[in-house]
Amino acid sequence: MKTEQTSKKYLTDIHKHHVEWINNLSFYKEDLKTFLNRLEEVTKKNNSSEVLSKVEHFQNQFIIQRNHMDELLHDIKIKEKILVDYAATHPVAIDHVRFDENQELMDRVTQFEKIWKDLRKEYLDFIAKWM
Amino acid sequence: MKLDFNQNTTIGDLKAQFNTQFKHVKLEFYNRSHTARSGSLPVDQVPDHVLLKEFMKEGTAVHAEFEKTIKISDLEKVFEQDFNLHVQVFRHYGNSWLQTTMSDHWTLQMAEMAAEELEELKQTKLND
Repeated sequence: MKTEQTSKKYLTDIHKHHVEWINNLSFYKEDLKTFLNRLEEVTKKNNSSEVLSKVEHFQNQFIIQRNHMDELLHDIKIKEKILVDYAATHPVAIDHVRFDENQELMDRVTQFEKIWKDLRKEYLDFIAKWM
Repeated sequence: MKLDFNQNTTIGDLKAQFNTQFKHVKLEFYNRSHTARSGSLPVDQVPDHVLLKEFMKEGTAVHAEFEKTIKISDLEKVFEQDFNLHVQVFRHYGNSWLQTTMSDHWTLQMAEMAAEELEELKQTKLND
């Protein structure tokens, strides 16, 4: 049986995490648009098979990672809405109540950020070489 | 996806049939075969006016049906093995076409969707 691991935290702390994750993911999505445009510039300047296959590789990765970003944003917003709804219906001493923070969601965000960081580095090395 | 062709079909006709079903993915034909995950050279590309009889066996008439979920590598292999046609699949990107080598394990449908998504992302940028 699959169980969700949780840790107890104050609502404000969980909310801070959600806001931070949403901001970061939105920022990465903006990065991604710039990255794609730069890739197009690279293809205009270089048409060797080595470069084009790397461009294709980065495009594929960006599409896959963008889908992961959308899934994460969707899931974070659902968790955030649950908190907001709870706070609205239980306003008394809400700051002192501890809530379960979804460890699985936190792990997914952490894992995604690692993958994105590595991909970003690989991409920037490639751009530096071919732009 | 259905394709009908025979020895008197031109390369261009066959490509056009394919593109009635895929807008962001296209086929290009070559004089030489390629191995998996490798590209083909532009110099080996066969022009549109060339008839398939340059490659196919005499008397071959083909009514081929492919699922959109066929892998690019499998599609290329069928053309190679069954019809002696050396094919590469390209994906539309911006103002150009990219030969798929890193995406050979993707399906035609995935390649089409990927090209659409890339286009959508570019449009988002323009609208910002």
